[in-house]
Amino acid sequence: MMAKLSSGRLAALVLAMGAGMAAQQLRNPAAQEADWTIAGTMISAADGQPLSRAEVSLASTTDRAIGQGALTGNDGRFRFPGLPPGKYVLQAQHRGFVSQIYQQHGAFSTAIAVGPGLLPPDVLFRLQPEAIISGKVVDEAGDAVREARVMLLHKSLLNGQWGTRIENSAQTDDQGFYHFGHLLPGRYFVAIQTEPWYARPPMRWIGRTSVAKLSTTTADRSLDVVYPITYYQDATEPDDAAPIDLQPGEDATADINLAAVPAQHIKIHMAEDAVVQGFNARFSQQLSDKTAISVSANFQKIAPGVYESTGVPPGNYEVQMFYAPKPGQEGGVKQAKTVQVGKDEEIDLTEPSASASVSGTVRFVPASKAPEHLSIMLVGAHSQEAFRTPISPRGDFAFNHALPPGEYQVVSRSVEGLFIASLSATGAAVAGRTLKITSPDPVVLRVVMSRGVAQVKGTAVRDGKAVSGALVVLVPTDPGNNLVLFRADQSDSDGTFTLPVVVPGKYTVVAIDNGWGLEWQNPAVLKPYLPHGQALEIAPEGRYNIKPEVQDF
Amino acid sequence: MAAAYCLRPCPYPAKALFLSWALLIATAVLARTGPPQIAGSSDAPTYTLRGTVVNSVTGDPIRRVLVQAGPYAQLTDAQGRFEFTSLSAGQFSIGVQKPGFFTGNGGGGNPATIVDVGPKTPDAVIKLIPEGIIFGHLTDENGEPMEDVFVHVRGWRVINGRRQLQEMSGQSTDEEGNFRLFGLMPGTYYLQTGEVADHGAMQMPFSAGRGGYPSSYFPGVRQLNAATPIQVAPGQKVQADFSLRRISAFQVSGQVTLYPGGRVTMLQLMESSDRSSTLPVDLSFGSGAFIARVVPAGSYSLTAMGVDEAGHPLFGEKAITVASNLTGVVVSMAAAVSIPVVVETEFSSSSLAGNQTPIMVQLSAIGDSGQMYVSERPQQGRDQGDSGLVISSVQPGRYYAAVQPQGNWYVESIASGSTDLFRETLTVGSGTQVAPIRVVLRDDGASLAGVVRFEGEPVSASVLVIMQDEPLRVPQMLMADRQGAFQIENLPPGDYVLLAFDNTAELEYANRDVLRDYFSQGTRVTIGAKDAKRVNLDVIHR
Repeated sequence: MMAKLSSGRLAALVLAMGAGMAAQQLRNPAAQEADWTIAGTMISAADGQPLSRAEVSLASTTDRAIGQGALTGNDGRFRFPGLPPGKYVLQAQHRGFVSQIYQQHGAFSTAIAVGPGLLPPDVLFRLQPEAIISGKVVDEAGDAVREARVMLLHKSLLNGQWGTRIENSAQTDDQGFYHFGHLLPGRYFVAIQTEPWYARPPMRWIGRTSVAKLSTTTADRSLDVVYPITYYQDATEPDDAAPIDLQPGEDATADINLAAVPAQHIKIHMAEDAVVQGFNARFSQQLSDKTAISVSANFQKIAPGVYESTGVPPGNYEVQMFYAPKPGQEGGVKQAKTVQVGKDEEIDLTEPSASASVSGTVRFVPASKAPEHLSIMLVGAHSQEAFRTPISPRGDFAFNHALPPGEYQVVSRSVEGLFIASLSATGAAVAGRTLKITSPDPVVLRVVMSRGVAQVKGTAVRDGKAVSGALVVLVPTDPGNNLVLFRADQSDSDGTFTLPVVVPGKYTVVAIDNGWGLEWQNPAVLKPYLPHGQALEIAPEGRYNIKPEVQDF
Repeated sequence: MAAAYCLRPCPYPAKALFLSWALLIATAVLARTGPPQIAGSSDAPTYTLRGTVVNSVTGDPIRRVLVQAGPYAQLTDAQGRFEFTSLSAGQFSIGVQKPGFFTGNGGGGNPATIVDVGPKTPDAVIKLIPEGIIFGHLTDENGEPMEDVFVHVRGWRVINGRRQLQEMSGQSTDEEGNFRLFGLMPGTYYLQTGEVADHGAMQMPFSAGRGGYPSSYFPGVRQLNAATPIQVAPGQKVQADFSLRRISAFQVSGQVTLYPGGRVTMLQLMESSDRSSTLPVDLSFGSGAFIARVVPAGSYSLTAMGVDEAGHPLFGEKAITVASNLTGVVVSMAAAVSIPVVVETEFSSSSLAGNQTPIMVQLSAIGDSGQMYVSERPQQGRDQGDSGLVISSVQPGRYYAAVQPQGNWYVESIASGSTDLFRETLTVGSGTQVAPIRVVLRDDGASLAGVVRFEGEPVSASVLVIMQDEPLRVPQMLMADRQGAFQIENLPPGDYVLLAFDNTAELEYANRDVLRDYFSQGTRVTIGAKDAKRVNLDVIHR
């Protein structure tokens, strides 16, 4: 099932429980008997040994008032008797282990179903010993660096896609130490972002007829320094970052040495008549395939149309400038350019930007007014950056910021069962639900929306028997261009699963046992499984109940 | 600013030189007396300034300290030395900075380190005070580490002359229950933990009911007056391990009554004995229904604020004792107390009369809640004739009143009804209106000037001008410059005691009991209207 709890949120779970013997408090006491039991054993995923004094909580997926907690005994056993029929989510916690939901995979987990005709399994709940990454950050003089921002990046499968994302961040203490605990095994990176505490830019005297620089001694220049974003192991390029392949229960050390480098002074040339108010610029560096980070930079206007930025570490950046529109121009203007600081000292942004303005109309079939709070969103395929704009009651929309070239998923949150039925555009190419902007030409997007999202439920089976914990994926046709149409779920202990908010169309349902290592949003990875999947044509408002055959991973 | 820099042979005992506590990283003061001097821009001769930065506790030189002199900056070498060549003649302010150290600053009236650079500039010795650290280990009643508990460090600070317990910093414990709080100025601190619902967030066994760890002070007590203060000397690392005791917690629910058309804007549940410690409450703003799910046994106060249909502020308070689940608790709100401020002027000079006379009246709650109110213009712009000022939504309690005139006049008196607020505190009851605060301003003030000396030599100092018969009138504090000279205008006529201090660090100068101890070392003077008097003062060493 789609987990409504994330690991580590047991406090919230406790608050959801009723007081006293909640198992006896039923919404409708006369209607159902409450004599079902869920029991199991908690073991360590590392050595299979039972875990005593582990805290287990149980919560009903349908009735927030029903919940219990228990401690495992010396044999690692736990037992929840007296339950009414229904589905229950189990969550466990133990010192030294990572708190988890039963068979949790990201946002999915296996709920335990009890009721007439359902024999719940004896639950074998594996907890991963927690791993730790800690270390010390030291500067070029060997001194501890305090209050540095440390980012922990984790390469993980999220929504069927591999990506390296910032999982947590911390600050170093006075001894330069940082510490990340409660980690699952996996591949991690550590990145440090900070400034030398002693950095001082050379003085400038602005406001005189010429910009004068103080004649500086070598001592003064040595203080105009910055730290590039530094990765373990002392790398300054994201590609050179050393991965930490963390084992279950490992206590890994990742010390990092920072080396100060001369600050870059970058001149940015803008069209002279660009309105300065509301000007701001952002230097962002790609930390990993799915994460960009902003680097702060000071800006000063030194001449009409010329801005100088100080304090930028060398590296590869995308410089984005936002400035107020000229009178008569709508919305803000954004220009972006990729620069390599350390080589380019002058950036020319006087050319019209390559960004396109995007606007359009939504037609509703059958015809109707746009509901309130309906918006349309473009999500960058590689940057994950999202741009959203509301749709007017007449069905018009226009994005405030011009969009740089790239591929975008077109997404609209399902309001009143609405979904995007089809897309077409001028000024850009459309494939499935993907918009591909290649030039600065204005883009006009025509969207057709219909009502009637569907729902697909079912039971994953193998040879007629229900399969628990299977990955079930609803794959659209032309999957590469329709990433937003994918739906997935994890089957519960009775094999059942639910795929809500399905956009009508042609799909293939694929159920894979132990499929949780699969990058299931990658069409190439899915290809071998599709021939054995179940074809499904989904009509608006359709309600389907299917029994897909489970394939082996 | 740098401490303990003496141009002449130091007149004070070495240990107590100019040590006042400052912010963690002192900001460099780039004051200069003339236009910036750029070396080589003229034929002016240049000079050298040398010096050493040392640890104020050990005397050891400190390497890699950032020293700034005028527009120049450098790091000290391995022997803690710095040298600025090519400085033009003149006065320079020297700034020093290093993580983990503080400078003794000019707070309390001492001058920043100013150096006269010239042909015979003596070497400078600048002291930095090392930071203090409090670290420790937090466990529960079973000896198990407690993770993710927020530990606050609170210390006494003098704000506007009064001592208040301020939050200095804080951090959550890690999974071993460890915390480490660094960057502390020397002083006396209390550690306070944020309240925690059953840690591990499971209640074991379920039938025993909810439990929790209420907000506690080191070494594990609930009340501040039972807490053990932690002394941190400069550079000291103090270990403070302690444990918390789980107690039963209960649920409190009920209703805030509303005026028709009104709504609740805030509801706080706080411990009666420590009003800075609040617990989470779920409140429905529209209906006024609330529920607090994990309330450890104890005495609390529920405080509600809201607005009625017309937007006027409402206030309500209810004391409760929690020993079991409570339902149906009612907090009634009534019109919040607003105190109008009326300003009367008795000006002899006709040019001042008739002006809007801007003043600010401030009410500070007694005790260390830090609660404060300031007068403002009412939002509706009602014409109140005199000053149109009001102090809005004052919660019940006792307050000190302070008033800041902003012009060529002095405050002759401030009173609410028959209560003279320069002699007594203001008591605000709940629901009952308070007599308007009347402030009388006059322009026939006196001027006072003089020189502060130490053993016959003029020195700089902080001078407190204390009106003897008005214990709640906050003394004015002036700076005597390096020639010991000070001056003040618009002084209210009366009997005064003048005290000159070498430093005013942590001096609770608004507290008359604290100052009385020094009266025998002070100078008394009686000042009449429009007088111009001169006095000589002797410095008091603290």
